[in-house]
Amino acid sequence: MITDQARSVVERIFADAMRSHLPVDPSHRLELSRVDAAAAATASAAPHELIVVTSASFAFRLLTVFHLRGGSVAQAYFGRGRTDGAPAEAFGEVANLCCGAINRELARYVPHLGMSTPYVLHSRCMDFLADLSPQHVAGYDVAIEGDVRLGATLCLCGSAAIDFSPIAVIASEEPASTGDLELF
Amino acid sequence: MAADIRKQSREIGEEVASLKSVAHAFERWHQDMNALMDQNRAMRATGEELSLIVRHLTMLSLNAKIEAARAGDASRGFVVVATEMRTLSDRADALQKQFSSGLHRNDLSTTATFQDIQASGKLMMAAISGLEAMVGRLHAQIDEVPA
Repeated sequence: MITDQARSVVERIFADAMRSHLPVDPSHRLELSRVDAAAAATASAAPHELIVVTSASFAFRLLTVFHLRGGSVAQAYFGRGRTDGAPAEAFGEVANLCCGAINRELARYVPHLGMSTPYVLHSRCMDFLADLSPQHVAGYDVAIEGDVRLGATLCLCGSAAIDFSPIAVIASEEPASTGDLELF
Repeated sequence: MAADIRKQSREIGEEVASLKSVAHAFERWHQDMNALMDQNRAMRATGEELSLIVRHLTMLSLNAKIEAARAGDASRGFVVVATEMRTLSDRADALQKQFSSGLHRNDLSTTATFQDIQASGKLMMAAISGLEAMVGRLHAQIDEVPA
């Protein structure tokens, strides 16, 4: 099970990371609204690509999924005007930065954390998110400067109880290592 | 006594250093998962090709039925063939959708596992490096103790 505190910590970290790292220009306005996770996951929207990044600790894994359903507007925005590459290509770096920020912040609560590289999937894969037996799923609609739109889903899975206790925060005031050694 | 502690501390250091070899296991898993992901990609390409064939087959069976209806009584046998073709194309379509759905399910579980291995590998290597640094500090302190 996941405690209410852990759930709110993860959601706050996720929202902060999106606000700080999704806009390509810090002055751009980002609106974030919670949506039903199932609605965010549904394939009812036109088929699109997903970018998935996983953060793992010993007790849990956290999948961050970005839904690139914004079409050419989003592609041009994240590609900084370039529309020749695949949408996922333009967004991959942004997703990496965003998830890196989530990891750094989570490291204040969880001593050992690692992060994967981003991977592209088809939106229909979301139909099977329940296969991962998530303990918590949160869906978001993201709008940047009004017309750049994308979706995001947070999926927290773990077999053990998940909690981020205040004691853990104090104990890890000395910044936890996020990994100097790069594998793969 | 101090010599014993030094010896044990050295042994711990060697053990921790050898733990770093776990990186080879992670590399191996990474390669295996990469091969699996490549296989998924190839199966998806086959699935897309299959989907095109099924769509083509459906169109053909529809056209065959229309042509048979035009020909009237003389083509009753052809109507049966066209109807059978349509039934087959519908079954192929249902199977193709099921296959495609299975591939998406596979993609998600494979990717989640692949990324978990990748991220966990990084966290374990970082933990071992942290342990190694601690052992190094312990060695330095022990070395300062007079023999």
